[in-house]
Parts: sequence; C-alpha cells; structure tokens
Amino acid sequence: MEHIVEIQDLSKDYETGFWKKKKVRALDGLSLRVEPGQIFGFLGGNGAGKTTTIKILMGLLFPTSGTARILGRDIGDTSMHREIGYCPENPYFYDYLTADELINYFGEIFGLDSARRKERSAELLTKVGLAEKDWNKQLRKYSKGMLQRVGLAQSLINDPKIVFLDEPMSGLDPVGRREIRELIAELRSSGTTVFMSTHILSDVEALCERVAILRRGKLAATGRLEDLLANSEQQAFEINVSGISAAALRPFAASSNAELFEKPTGISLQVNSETEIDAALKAVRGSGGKLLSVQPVGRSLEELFVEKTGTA
Amino acid sequence: MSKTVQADRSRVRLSGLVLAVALLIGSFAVYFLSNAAGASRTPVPESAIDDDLSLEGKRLKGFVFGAEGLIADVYWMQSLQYLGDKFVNAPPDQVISLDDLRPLNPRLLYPYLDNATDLDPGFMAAYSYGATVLPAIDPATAIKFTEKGIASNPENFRLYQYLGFIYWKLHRYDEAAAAYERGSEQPGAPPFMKAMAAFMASNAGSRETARAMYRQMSDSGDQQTRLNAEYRLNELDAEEQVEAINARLSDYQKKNGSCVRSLKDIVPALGAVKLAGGAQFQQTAAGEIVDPKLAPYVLDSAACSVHSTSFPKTGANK
Amino acid sequence: MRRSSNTNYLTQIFVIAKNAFREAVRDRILYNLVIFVLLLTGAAIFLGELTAGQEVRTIINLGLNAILLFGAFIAIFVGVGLVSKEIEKRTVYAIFAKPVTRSQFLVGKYLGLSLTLLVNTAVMGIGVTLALLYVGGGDRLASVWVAVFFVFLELCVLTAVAITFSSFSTPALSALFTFFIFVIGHFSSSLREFAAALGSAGAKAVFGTIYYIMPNLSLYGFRTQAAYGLLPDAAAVAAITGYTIVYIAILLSIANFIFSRRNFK
Repeated sequence: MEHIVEIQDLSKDYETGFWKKKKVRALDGLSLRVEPGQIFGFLGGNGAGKTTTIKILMGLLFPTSGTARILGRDIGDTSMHREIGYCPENPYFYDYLTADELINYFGEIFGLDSARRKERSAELLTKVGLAEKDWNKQLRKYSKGMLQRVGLAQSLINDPKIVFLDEPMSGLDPVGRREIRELIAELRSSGTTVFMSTHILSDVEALCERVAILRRGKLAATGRLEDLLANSEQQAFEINVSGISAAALRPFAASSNAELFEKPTGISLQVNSETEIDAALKAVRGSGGKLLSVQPVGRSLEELFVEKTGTA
Repeated sequence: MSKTVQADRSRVRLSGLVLAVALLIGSFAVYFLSNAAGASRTPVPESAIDDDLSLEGKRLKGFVFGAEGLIADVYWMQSLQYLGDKFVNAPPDQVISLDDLRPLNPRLLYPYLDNATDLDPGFMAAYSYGATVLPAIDPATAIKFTEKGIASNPENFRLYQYLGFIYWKLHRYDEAAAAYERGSEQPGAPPFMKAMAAFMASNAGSRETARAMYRQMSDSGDQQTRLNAEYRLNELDAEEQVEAINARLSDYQKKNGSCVRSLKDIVPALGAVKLAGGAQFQQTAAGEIVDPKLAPYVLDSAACSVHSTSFPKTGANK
Repeated sequence: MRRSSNTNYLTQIFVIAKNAFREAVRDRILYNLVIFVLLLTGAAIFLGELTAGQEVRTIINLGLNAILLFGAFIAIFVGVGLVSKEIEKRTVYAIFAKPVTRSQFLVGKYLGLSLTLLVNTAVMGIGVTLALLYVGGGDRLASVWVAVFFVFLELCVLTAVAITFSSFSTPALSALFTFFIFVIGHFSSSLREFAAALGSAGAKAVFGTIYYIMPNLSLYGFRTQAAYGLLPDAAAVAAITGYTIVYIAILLSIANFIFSRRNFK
C-alpha cells in the first residue's frame, strides 16, 4: 500500500433553507494523497472544508461525489475503523461517564478484555497528561482542555495505524499545547501516521512534513512544507548591524531595493537575494558599521497561508 | 472602596430580607384569600349538586388505554363514597331506613354502578352492592342492573341469587322462584339455589326464608353487602326475640292482670323459649335481657311490649 | 497487539446497550420507582377502606396501569432522545469512527432502553406482588405477571416508535408523534369496530388501514383481565410476542434505513 489516505475528486454540498433548498458547496473536487509514516498538516481558514473532509473520511458525512480510501479500503467499509483513530474538533463525550469509563467503553467496542482495558486506560490517560485524580471524575466536570486530552486518549485506544486529529490544539493552554505537540511527534516516531487539521501555523511548522492548504473547499496547495515555502520568490536575508546610522546605508538600500529598519539594537537591512549580501556587507563596512548577524528570512508560513487561503 | 463593598453587602442582605418578608406576607395572603374565595363562592343550586358526573363510562370504553378496570374501580369507589356522604350529610333528625333510601335522593348511585359495570362487565362486587342498595332507591333500576349483569355473566349463579333476592323483597315470589331456578342450572351453583326456588313457591314470606336469604348473601359479595346481610340477620333475630318476649308479656298480663314491672320477672318463662336454631336469650351479668347487639330490650309499660334500640324496626312493627 | 481484538456484530451491540442502560441509571431514570412504591404502599394501606374489600382488584388495576403509564413516559421521553441527544451533543462522532455500524448503534441503544424498561417494569411488578401478598391476593400473581409481561412488550413497541421518529425528526416533535401513536394505537381497534358498526365503506377502509399500520396496542391490554386472575392461553401469548417482535423489527429497519443515510453536520 503506497498511500495511507487517498482522496479522489471529493465534493460535498450542504443543503440549506427549509422551503427553498439552496446548495452550498463545502468541498469541491478535492484530491489528496497521504503517505504513511508522516505528520500531514491539513490547513485552511474557517469554513475551508477541513472538518467536512475529515468527517467524510470518518463516515459521518456522505460525499456528494468522489471517493476516498483509507489503508486501501473504501471509507464505507467500517471494518477499516479497527485500525484508525479519530479525535473530533472540540470533542464531547458522554458527560455521565468518567474519563476512565469512557476509555474502557471504547476499549470494549474494540473487544479488549478488562485487564487490557484497565492497563490501556491508565497508559493513555497518563500519556495525554491527565492527572490521575481526574480519571474518575465525570466528564461533565471537565474543562475544554481536559476534554481535548481525553479525546486524544480515546483516539489511540486501538493503537491505530493512522490517527485523524481535527484541531487537536484547540482549548489548550500554551503548556498543554507543547505537551500535545510532543505527543504527536512521539506518535510519528512510533510509526503512526498523523493526519491533523489545524489553523495554528506554529504547530504546523513544528510538526508537519507535508501539508495541504484548502481554500473554499478546493485544494490551494499541497506538498512538502519546505518546498512550499522555498518555492515562493527568492530567498531574502536579514543583516543586522550596529554603530552606524540608518542614513549611512540609505544610498545602498535605494540602489539595491533593500529594506531598512531601525531597531533598538541597531539597524536591520533586508536584502532580496543571496548575491546581494556581499555588496551590503561592503556598504556596512565602508561606513564603519559593526556586523551583528546575517540570517535567512524564510517567507513565513503565515505569508504563504495568507496568500493561498486568500484570507487577507 | 471597602465602604462601597460593605454597602453592597448590606444592600444584598436587605433585599434578601425584603424578599423573605414579602414571601411571608404573600403566603399569609394566599392562605386567607384562598379561604375567603372558597367561602364566598356562588352556591350551586340544590338540584345541581350531584351534577359533576359528566362522563359516561360506556363512552370511555376502548379509549382509556386499556385501563377500563381501573376507571371502573374509580366509579366503584365513588359509588361507595357517594352513598356514605349522603348518610353523613343527612339532617340529624331524619330517620333513614335501609328499606327506603329515597329521602337521601341518591340519584347518581345507579349511574355510578352502571358506569363501573359498563367498563368492567364482570365487576361482581358492583352487582352485589347494586342488588343490596338499589331496591331501596328504585326497584326497577335494581332489576335492570342485575339483568344487565346476567347478560354479561350468564354463567354466574350469584347474579341470579341477587335477582331472586330483589324480587323476593318486592314480594314478587314467582319471579324470584324463576330467578333461583335459572341460577340453580348454572355450573357450580350450590344446592341452596334449588332450595330457595322451592321456598319461594311454598313459604316465601316466612322468617326462615328471610334468614336463609341473608345468610347466603352474607357469604357472597362485597364487604358492604356482607355487613348489610349480617345486620339483617341480627334484625331478624331481634324480631323473633321481641315477638317471643311480647308473647310472654301478654301471658303474664293475662295471668296477673297487670304488666310486669321489670323484664326480669319473665326471665324464667323466657328460659323455656326455643329460638331459631336452638339459640337462647342472652343476658347481661346484671340479668338484663339483651338484643343481638347486646343492648337491653326496653320495656314500654303502657303498651306492655318491648322494643330494641339497636333495631328500630322491631318497635315500629307493632 | 494491533489486531488482537476479536469481536463480532453482537458484541458491539451489547457494549452499546450496556452503556445506554448505564446512562439511564446515571440520569436517575429509575428514581420513578420510588414514586411508584410510595403510590402502591399508600394504596395497599388505604384502599381497603375506600373500596369496601375490593383492594385486591384495585391494587392490580392501579399497579398495572401505573406500570404502563410510568413506562410509557420513559419510553417516549427517553426514547426520542436516545439517538438525537447523541447527535446533538456530538457524542456520535467518536463512536462512528470506531468499528461500529449505524445499525449496531441504533439496535444497541434500543436494547439499552429496553433493558432499562425491563428492570423498571420488573421492579414495579415485584412491588405489585408484595402489595398483593399484603392484601391477600396471592392467587392472582400468575395473571399479574402475564399482564406485566404484556405491558413490557407494549413499552418495547413504544420505544421502537420513539426511536424511529427521532431518526429523522426533532426530539420534541418525535415525542409528540410517539404520543399520538400511543393514543391511536390504543384506539385503532375501537375505531375500526366503530367504523364497521356505522361507517361508510370509505370510513371502514380508512380505519381498517390505520388498524393494520398502527401498532395495535390494545392487544397488550391484559390488565383488567388480570384483576380477575384470568390467564391467556399459550397460543395467544406466542402470537402477541411474535407480533411484537415482527413489528419492532419493521420499525427498527425503517429507523436504520433513515439513520444510516444521515449526515452528522
């Protein structure tokens, strides 16, 4: 099996209105492939169709047209669900159960015996960072962040080959976010493929090898994250200097179309290509400035995101 | 700063107090207003007092989710309550005989029982109660009601017994005999049905027949019927005893020219009397002669006769 | 460990049913038993006075009809929420990403509530039994339990109706529809007789159709008979049980047909 997820021409129309049915296209001819063993980032603004796609993959929604396969099996085949995991966006579970009971319940659905369930429940709840004192509290008393952790724990109960995480970081505080980030990285290193939707770009940069960006239900871009970022115009560099005034560098900046910023620590000069670095350094030295640093300024993911999703 | 916090707190406390007081006053007001409103309701005309029976049982049948039995029970309880209330609310000076309940105007009794038995045609206690009480209100409805029971439960000999009883009370002995005859043909009918049919033909008006009648009633039917039958049996005993005492009183008067001064004077004579079933007169420790309810018989020296305070009918017979 | 799990179709239904039962218990649905027991105790003590010695039949009538009434409330109001509450609260999302089909879920939830009703009905039956023994009606117990069984069957049908409506309608409307079916189901045989007695051919056809389409709930009425200590013959019990199973199977198939096509937005 080459691709762990294969999406082919997937479209989904929602009908709205009661009398006059209007069709709203939430997903429009999406085709996508995910290779095993990686963390795949599924990006897009609100309403771009990320959750719709994942719900179709999970069999919660039925596509208007198109097909999709997970682990080589059609998404209509429920038996494939033995080997996948899913944590919905803002997950919500039976609030009359405790976290431990919920994990046990799902464990039973997978046919785990009670000793194994007990073991697995403790293991998973520890893994997602839930304090042991909360394990036997009813979920109605859980905060959003705690529910998010329970959601992650239940998605891993069957030790899945691929896990689908819909906005796994929402509702978490910065510490929690870092913990979950580590957990996701750990999943990859243990061989689990992670398909995660998010709009938190720092998580994508920290975790994802490949991404797909959705825009209004259509695929705007897909590929390796590095490629997508490099692929854009030429690489820019930032040169930080001190000991001179901005005025001294202005002639150079004007001639090479570089940008000049004043910073508390000195001057920052941004050139548009590698070849211009030498000329810039010459100009700095010529006016008696002291070089602090030279660093590449990647076109940020944010810029890419804004460009591809057209949100700005 | 802390002053405003304190002010806020005392305001909260004050509003809580105001609320508590308002609730207290309100509760009192509700209590008094409710009583006042209840007392000053426009009275319903006398004729409409019993008018709250707005549903006919037979129309409910099939439309009470299979709870026909329960609704029948409700009508049954109402029928008991209804007559009970009539007794309790009767003017204290009104004398009510079990043989004629018409002064109470219990006009809804039949509809209640009719509804109960429409909903549950096998409701034997209702038929038994109806057969006991309805003849004292309207014999025609009593017969109709019991015939309805027979139509629904043609194999139940008890209903024929009730019908025979009603006819017997009305002194319609031929019809009573026919009812007993029909009843005796039903499966499981005891021999006394046949015997009663024979009594009706030969000896219908006798005390023996009456005794047999009530004895059988007392071991059938509902509690109400049983109590009534037991009362009747005691009444029959009292009647017999009053007759025996009066006979001895007139013997004494004939012999001595005057009435006895005390009933104790005829105790030896009474000792020789054989009552029905070989029973004897009952006496208290003080030697007073008492009726079946253990109340002493009262001597009326002027008429030189006795009557029982427990059974007013025994005196009225004279 | 990955594929060490061995389950079949019924295991998952059983697990879901068990959880639905647990939900009912945690939602304190069985608390209605307390009210029932109080009602029955009061009845056993006071009815003797009010009914002039007819307390045996009255306790049977009161107890059995209360079992139906309480049970119908649970069947309707819990039944319509069985599935729709899970959709509304989004608890279905995680379930259906597990190896659970829509039909397993539906049947499991249905059986869970049926189990709840079974426990509820049985405990109430025991309550009636004790009250009867107290007033000396022990000879009617067999009939009473037959009637309790029939009440349970009726509640199972009612639950199936509720779950079917809720598979495509809102809980409030489903409750209303189910209540209508409860009413019509009890009246349909009376209405048909009524139409047969004095209706036109058209009315006969309409009420005849209603009679066969609607659940014939008057079949389950054995409560008045139970008060007389009557017993149905075995063939009647078999026929009514068969009718119940077939009717529920049809309803659940319809519910499953609709539910399996639902999108969970």
